[in-house]
Amino acid sequence: MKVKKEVTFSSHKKTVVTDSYLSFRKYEQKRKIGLFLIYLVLIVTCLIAFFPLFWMFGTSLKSRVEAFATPPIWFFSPKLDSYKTLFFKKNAGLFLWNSIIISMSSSFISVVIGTIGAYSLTRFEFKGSQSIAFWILSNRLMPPVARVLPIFFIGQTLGLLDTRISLIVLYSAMQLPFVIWMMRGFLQEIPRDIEEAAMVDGDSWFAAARKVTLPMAMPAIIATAIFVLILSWNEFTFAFILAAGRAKTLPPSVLTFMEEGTVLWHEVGAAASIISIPIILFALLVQKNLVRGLTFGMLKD
Amino acid sequence: MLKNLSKKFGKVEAVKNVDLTVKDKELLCLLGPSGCGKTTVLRMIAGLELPNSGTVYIGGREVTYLEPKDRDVAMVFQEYALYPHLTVFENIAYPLRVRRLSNTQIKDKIERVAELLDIKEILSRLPSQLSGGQKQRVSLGRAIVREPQIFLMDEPLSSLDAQMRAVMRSELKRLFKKLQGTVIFVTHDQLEAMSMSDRMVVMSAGKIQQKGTPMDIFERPRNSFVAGFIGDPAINFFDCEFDRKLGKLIVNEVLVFPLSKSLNRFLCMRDSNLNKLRMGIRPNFIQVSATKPSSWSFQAEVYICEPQGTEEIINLQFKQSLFKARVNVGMKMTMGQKIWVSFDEKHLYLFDQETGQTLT
Amino acid sequence: MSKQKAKNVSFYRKRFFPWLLISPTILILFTIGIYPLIYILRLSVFNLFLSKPWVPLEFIGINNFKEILEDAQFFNSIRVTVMFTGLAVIIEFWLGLGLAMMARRVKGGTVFRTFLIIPMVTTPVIVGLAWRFMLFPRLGVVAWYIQRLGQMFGIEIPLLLANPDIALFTVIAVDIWEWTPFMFLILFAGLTSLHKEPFEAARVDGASGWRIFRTITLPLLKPVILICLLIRTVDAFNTFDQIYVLTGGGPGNATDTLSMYLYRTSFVFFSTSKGAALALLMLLVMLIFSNFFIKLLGKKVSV
Repeated sequence: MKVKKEVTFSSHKKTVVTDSYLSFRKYEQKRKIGLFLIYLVLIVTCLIAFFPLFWMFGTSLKSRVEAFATPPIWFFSPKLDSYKTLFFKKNAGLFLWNSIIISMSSSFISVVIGTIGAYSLTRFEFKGSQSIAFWILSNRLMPPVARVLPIFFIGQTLGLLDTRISLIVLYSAMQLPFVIWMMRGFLQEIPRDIEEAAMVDGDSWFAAARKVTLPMAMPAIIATAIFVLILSWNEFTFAFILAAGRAKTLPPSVLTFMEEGTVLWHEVGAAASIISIPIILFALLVQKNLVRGLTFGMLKD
Repeated sequence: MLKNLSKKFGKVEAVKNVDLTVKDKELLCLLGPSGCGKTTVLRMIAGLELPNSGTVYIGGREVTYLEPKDRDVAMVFQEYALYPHLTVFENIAYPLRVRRLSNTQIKDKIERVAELLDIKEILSRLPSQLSGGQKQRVSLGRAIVREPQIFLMDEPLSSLDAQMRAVMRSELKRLFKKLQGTVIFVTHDQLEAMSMSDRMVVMSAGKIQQKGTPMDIFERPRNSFVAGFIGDPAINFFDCEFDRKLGKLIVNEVLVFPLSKSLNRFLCMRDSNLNKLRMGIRPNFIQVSATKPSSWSFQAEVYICEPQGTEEIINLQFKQSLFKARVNVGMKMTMGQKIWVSFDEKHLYLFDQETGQTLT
Repeated sequence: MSKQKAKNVSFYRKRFFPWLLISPTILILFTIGIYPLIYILRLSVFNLFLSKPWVPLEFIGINNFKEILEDAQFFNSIRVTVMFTGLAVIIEFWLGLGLAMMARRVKGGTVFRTFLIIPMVTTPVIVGLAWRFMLFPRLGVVAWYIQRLGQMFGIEIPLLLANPDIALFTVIAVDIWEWTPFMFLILFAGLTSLHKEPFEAARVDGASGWRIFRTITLPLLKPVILICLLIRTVDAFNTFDQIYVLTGGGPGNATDTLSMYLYRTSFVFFSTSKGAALALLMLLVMLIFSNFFIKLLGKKVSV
């Protein structure tokens, strides 16, 4: 679209190629190179991000021989042997089931309780709400390894070790601060006016909350729930120490697959895939929400 | 001697073949409705946008593709664009620091500017602590302190409340006259444009509709768009047909407006195909009376009245058309009342559907 | 009807009702947050050894703390942890910032983000395992190609995980792989949330790209930056899962962070009280640190 028009007013008839245009061309060129480099970097970064899991997954489809081969084999025919071993011989199904139940339950519970709590924090002015919020935040500071200990004792005394319920309760409790933190940020965004309008119209506070606030907060609730789900699913330390047998979830179970002398990497790969792929897929599906929730909650502070 | 010669051509067809010269020490206004391209023109002068074709000259220097920083222009943004984390002093000092002036020099200049704009007391405050008017003055200060060749302003008054606006209109004009600055500003408020500029450029849909002094544009609009845009309340339009045999204009097939012989001849000469016209008459030239006046007139129904203090704006309805008249307070009117309306050919504007033909 | 309305409108000021809503939360948090803390406090001043249950419980005051502070391993752990946390967080930050700024200029940011989420959401244990596999001497795909690369240049590249000098850096690298996306996401959102007008004003005022970055972009991002630095630092400090799987603290004690040390003390040697004391120390450090950080954030924070 470069139309050459002459300048009618001044004395010189020039084409569009002037000094400033030349410097512009140089600038454009540099920009194009820069852009190309950026694309390059970004693509490489994507590959780096993707590769390790891709490799693990690939390894899980190899036979034992192939998995241990040097130099590493890139092309092979996929076999599902490792998966079969895991599920039929090493009880992977149980662990998977445990993980699913525990994550989903704790996610649900913590989100419900947390949202209600956050609602109360944001909607009502009562003394100490600020300090409570702060205290909730500081819960994060404790190293999880340390916290396991007393929980371990409680569990032992109550005989609740190695049960699914205890893990569910535990996880719910652990995620609660996080839920409150995020939901608080979101709920603060929702103006009270609409609720008040509903209440003036005659609704009780509960109906107002249910009909008005809830729909508006739904995306936030979902995002938070997803986040908690991921965190629960990935949790290792507590499950490792507290649930050694029947209630074991997936992450610690990976270690058991490693217990024999030589690490059977292809089986480990299968285990890893079982653990990580569902969650990754899940995260990818809802990534928009996820990112929004994560960053939004942060920025709100 | 500043010579601003610029020609900007289509960019996303936002600006089409704009041709414009701004004289030294002149206050020029780009006026037009939202989306007409005026802000784009301004940004092309500043260097924040680059044209697809055409050239920009500032002070005889060709700057079309230069970075904003190399163009020696200063810009005041619509939302002031102050640096929120810097104090007022630092905000104004920013361009000077970029140019690596010494601290004493900076302090000096800022003091002078602060004196000029009366912002000495707020120098140590943050933008979040300022009122709208103060923010604008800081924004101005940042521009002024650079002593640039041109000042560019994007809707300078639209973020202020009505009262501030009225005050700032005169203040700004005075300020720039005092500084002897060359200013180009953009607005959609025709009142602003009329009162503040030495020359105006009315734009619409990317094209320049008319250039000239405010009075020029007001009294001799080139087309119906310009006529309709300038003036408050807006000009009244009536579509009509030109009957050359009888020498009359027929509105709504009912109202017949007789044309003087000279006007008739004039119209016939212009174009033998002239048929559909549009009449324009400004509200202040419409006369109303309770009784039938001696000159040509017709009856219309009072739709609603808007008292304005010493004057009154009467909305009238005739058949399907609504129009407004501005009169001095005198007659008592009620809704639905039928009164006599008349106007003089002298004040009539006639337009084709496209161009304007003017008669005053 | 009016009575109903009066009741509703004034419910905001009801004293007990909000407490009712939040009570389950508080209850739970108390159990999970306060009680363990108290328990640990108590433990730390006693001498409980789960490994030696026959030793009678006595109050030994700050003996545990003294023991820890005299332990050379403790200081090693501190060194390792500080290095790990410091390097990891700093590198992650600058990488994340760079990536965020690059991603802003480019279309197709969503695709990019899709890939980047993967390291973040993967189970940390799996991250550790995957990398351990890839870095396994000779077997691992990464190790193999790095060796080959070294051979091409005639350098002998040491084993990445088994070599005590390098192991820590390898672990740091893995952490960087895993958490840079976190920085990226937050910084990207932060960058996007900035109004573009001050930037245009700066361009007109004559500032060059680098100057704009230094004087405007960074200051405006300050709250965001501080938040993600704080969170990431605390998390890095407390990292356990990946390190446990990657190196278990070794080789030797090259990657023995405080968390690993704590784990060993409490669950391998079962010196429970000592572990409790250590946990308290760690908590203390984190409290001081985050306090400092939050003060830096200034009044902009409403926690």
